[in-house]
Amino acid sequence: VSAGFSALMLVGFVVPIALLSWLDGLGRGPR
Amino acid sequence: MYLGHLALGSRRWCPRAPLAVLLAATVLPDLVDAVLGLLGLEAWAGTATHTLPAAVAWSLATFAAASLRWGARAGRFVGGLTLSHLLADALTSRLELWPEGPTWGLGLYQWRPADFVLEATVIAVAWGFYQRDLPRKPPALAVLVTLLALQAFFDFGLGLS
Repeated sequence: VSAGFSALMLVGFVVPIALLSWLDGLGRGPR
Repeated sequence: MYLGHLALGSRRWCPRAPLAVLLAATVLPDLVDAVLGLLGLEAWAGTATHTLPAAVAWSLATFAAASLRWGARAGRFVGGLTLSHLLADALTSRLELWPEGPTWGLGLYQWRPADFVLEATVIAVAWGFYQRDLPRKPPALAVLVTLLALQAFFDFGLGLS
């Protein structure tokens, strides 16, 4: 596994997690 | 499983820990593999993350960390989610049970359409539990669409075997 693939893999997890967390916050509304 | 569908489903029973933590805990073995690759330690990837002893060790670590931060109940959920990664991967992949040990798992990734049907079903069921607690439905629907799109891209868009 190359460093480039590892970096892509990391981005492929971190970006969706951040997106889903943001949507989760929108869905819950202001606290 | 690509992105911690089980984390989504468990959200309503574990409200104290943020969703990002539940998702990260579920995919932690893959995240660690990626970091090992970046550090030039790719020889450790898999062995240090996806064998049974490694999965138990990472699960205990996330259990301890989450227990300290959000209490024992959250710790059990987060630790369980980390352990669930190995069990979910056993459906999709073939894994070494321990270093140099026998391999196990269904290896559904060899049949991408079957994998998509299974994972889309898990996503739909998990989302069904998740969305009940969300007062605003459009973002909840966006979560479902995002997960299904990512799963389709993962199964059919990357050219993986």
